[in-house]
Amino acid sequence: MGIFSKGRKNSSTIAKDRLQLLLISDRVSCSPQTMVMLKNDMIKAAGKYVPIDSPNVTICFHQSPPVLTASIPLKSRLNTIW
Amino acid sequence: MGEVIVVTSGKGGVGKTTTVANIGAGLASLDKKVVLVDTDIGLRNLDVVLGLENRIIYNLVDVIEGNCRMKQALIKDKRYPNLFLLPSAQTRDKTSVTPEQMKKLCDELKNMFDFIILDCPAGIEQGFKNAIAGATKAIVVTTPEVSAIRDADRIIGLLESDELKDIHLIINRLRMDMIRRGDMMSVEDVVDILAVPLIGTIPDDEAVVVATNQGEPLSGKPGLCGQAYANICRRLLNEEVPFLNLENKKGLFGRIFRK
Repeated sequence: MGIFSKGRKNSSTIAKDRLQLLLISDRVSCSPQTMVMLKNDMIKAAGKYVPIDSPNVTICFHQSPPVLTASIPLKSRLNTIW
Repeated sequence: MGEVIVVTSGKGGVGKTTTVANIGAGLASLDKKVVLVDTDIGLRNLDVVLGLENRIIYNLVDVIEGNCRMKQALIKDKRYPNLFLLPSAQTRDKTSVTPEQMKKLCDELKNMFDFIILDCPAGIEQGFKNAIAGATKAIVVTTPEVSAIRDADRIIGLLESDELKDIHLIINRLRMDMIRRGDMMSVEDVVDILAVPLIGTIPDDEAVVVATNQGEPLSGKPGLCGQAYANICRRLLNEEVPFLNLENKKGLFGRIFRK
């Protein structure tokens, strides 16, 4: 928590992020690559109709009941040059 | 009728056997009649953790094969008159028992005890399938590490697909100093990831190693760990017990020099 660690992600956050990604693919038994492909396809599909804030798209899988949810934030009007 | 609880984890070395020994001792000291069953055939170790290794004559496989009666194989604990151990066989392997036989064994024990606690072997093979066959409740033990949590998640999935839905989580070996520094996942992080109700949190404590060395359970003994185990037992008896603050209560000097 010193001045030097500023900006560096602490290791428990790294662990949690890695696990969450890993467990998504473990639970639906498909590889992380497949999940990335699914995410890209979703961005592409939704992007055809509305402007998507693509770096912030997240997909996640809930165990019981098994549900796949995607959060697809839209580009806010202020940041878009029409 | 007794309740059959399996203690499992997927990954080895996270503290299943220690948890079984301590929950057993804790429930026995709350006046419950308890039997601990070591289902890890070929790798017996619950007996040493309990300090009962010199008293084994018959084992689980002997009972299943009909070489002895159940009562002959049960070992009474030295300290808790309500606590019994059914040891595993050391010279056999996991294929000597089937899930159906384990289920029958559990049904027999249900008539004799309030709690039947099964110490499950690591892994997801035959031994695991045997251990969960007779259980109606599962306790999944994990540590706040990526490998243990990943395995715990897999185990939870397997338990659910086996229609064992009453699943509870114990997070073992928590180090509050590391969590404070952001170098260990917190209780909230782990519960968030695994999405299973929490039944206990155990700090990483030297007292556990000392107790295991001596073959003495530490449930209910003074100290954070002993108290944490005692609380789990009370929760198993459906009591509402708040979770312990695991911050180490250091003396004045400890507090001054910590920062």
